[in-house]
Amino acid sequence: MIKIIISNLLRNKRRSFLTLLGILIGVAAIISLVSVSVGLTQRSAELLTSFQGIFVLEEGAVDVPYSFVEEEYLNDLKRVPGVELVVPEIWGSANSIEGLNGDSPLSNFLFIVGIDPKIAGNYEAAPYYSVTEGRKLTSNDRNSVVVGSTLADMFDLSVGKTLKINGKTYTLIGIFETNNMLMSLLVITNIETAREVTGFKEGYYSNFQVVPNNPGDLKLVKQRIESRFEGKLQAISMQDSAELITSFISNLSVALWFISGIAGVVGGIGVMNTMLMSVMERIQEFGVLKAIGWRNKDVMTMIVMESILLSLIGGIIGVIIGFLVSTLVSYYTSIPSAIDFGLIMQAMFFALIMGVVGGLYPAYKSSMMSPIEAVKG
Amino acid sequence: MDIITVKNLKKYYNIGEHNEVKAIDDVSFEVEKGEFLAIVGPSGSGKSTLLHMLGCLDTPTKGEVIIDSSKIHELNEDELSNIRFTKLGFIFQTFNLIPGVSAVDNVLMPLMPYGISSAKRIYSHKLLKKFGIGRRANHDPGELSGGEKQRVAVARSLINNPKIILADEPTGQLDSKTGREIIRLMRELNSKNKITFIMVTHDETLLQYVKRVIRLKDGKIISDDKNGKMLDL
Ligand SMILES: Nc1ncnc2c1ncn2[C@@H]1O[C@H](COP(=O)(O)OP(=O)(O)OP(=O)(O)O)[C@@H](O)[C@H]1O
Ligand SMILES: [Mg+2]
Repeated sequence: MIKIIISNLLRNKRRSFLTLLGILIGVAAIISLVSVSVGLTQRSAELLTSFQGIFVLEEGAVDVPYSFVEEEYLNDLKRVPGVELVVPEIWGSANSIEGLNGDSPLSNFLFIVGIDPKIAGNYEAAPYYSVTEGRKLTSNDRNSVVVGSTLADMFDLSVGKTLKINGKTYTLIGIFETNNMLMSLLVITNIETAREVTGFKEGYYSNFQVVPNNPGDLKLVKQRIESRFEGKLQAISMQDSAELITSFISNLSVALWFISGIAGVVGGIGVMNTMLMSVMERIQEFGVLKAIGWRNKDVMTMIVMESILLSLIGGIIGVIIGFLVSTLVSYYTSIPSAIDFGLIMQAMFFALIMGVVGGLYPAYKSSMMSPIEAVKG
Repeated sequence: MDIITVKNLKKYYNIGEHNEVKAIDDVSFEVEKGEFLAIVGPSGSGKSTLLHMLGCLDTPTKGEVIIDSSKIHELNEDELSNIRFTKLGFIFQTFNLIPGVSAVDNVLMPLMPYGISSAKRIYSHKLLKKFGIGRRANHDPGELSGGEKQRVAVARSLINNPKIILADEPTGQLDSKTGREIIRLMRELNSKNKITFIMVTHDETLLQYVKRVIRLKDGKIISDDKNGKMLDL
């Protein structure tokens, strides 16, 4: 049986190929789009939950670089019950690193972060505090920086080398690793150095990271800060953002599934069209097969199996192409590709459904034909 | 013992309100096991229509067909398929081999949905060899001559050891010499294997090789001659 099915599919190679292409694109779309979006979700969830602290910014500031908070809040925040540590930071644009200036789109992502090692102490909640190569900053360091590994790779830096930022030269004393692409582009330096480099207003910080005594009290402490400094400061816990981003991305996933679904429906219609055409062409053959003893269901089975085989081959090739695409995407964007067995099974199942649905109607049509209509010709 | 009984068989086609075509009009006859029968008549006389009803491919408007004691008008689709599979073989004017499938696989085609035993596989090769086309077994039908195609078709009709073989103008697309070859083959199967043959033909010259001739005209039997010459080929 399988022999005749294959031979039937090979009989009109161009048509079978075009159908294959339809399914293949559908499946590849599912695999690559969904795996990238799942990868994105995983990555952001991973990333955001790695911040245990509460970000405290100026009320109304959309992001850290646009936030200015007065120094006095440092002590006010320390007095909030349940607060263990308040770490001030200065964030500023590094307009030019190693001659890379504002003309490069990448320069929008280059930031200098100033921290106070004395205050931060062993606090390593933010990924950029943990250094894997060289050493961490100390309060005595002047004109020394720690950079993220991506930045280090980009400019071919290693510990001990120098780095030119906004025209001044700094010594690289450490490199930190983080799985967050944006974080791994950061330059970390002492808060006073950062103030100098970026010309940050005296008497202000960008933000504070507030660490609660007890990680379980995060929400409570956040609420206390919000009510106490209403209208002046905003408190963001990364868990909130994580939820927000995760829900955004899961909406994105739904949209991607939807798009893939459309691709799939188009693929399915393609299969049905192929099968219908090939059924119409072979009506006489089916009559002959019925005349020589095939049952209606045998003919139908053959047609559906042809369609399923076509879909499964398309599905397998689609999985491979989808895998390549998402691997390529993750290679160039550092979004991890989250292809797992489940996703492959889903995509194959999808292909199978296309095959069955695409084959059933033509099969049904063929069964409606009486064998004499066919053998008369 | 009659292997086929046809009683008051009618097949009417309605084309338009009051326009009835009586393709088969009250036909009755019996066929004994092992007969070699030809149905002849002018074009449109109902030969194919009759053969299709004998072959369980078409349903009568009225009357009955009994094949090997099965009343076919009482059977459903699957039971009819089963009769076709177990008792009948078909040979067509246009050969009707499946393209893209080798000659030997075409011979085995009737068995395909049911599974093919190695014994049947050997048998299919044996049949092709016996019909002088053993070396063509793995050729595509497109690569065979008309006569070779019809031999493959005859082999296919034999693969499930039918009791009756129905042939609609089996020589219609062959030259007279090749046509006679096919008839000779059929005659041999008839005498050796006791297979009943019913053959529709236009070719009057073939009638000297058969035992019985039924003549149709306008859907009616106008003669039924059981004393054919049965000349050797
Ligand atoms: N589906 C149909 N609808 C209407 N009329 C039909 C149909 N099939 C056959 N007929 C008519 O029935 C009559 C008998 O047809 P049939 O095919 O049995 O003739 P035949 O003897 O086999 O002719 P030929 O020698 O040309 O093959 C013809 O008049 C034909 O037009
Ligand atoms: Mg005819």
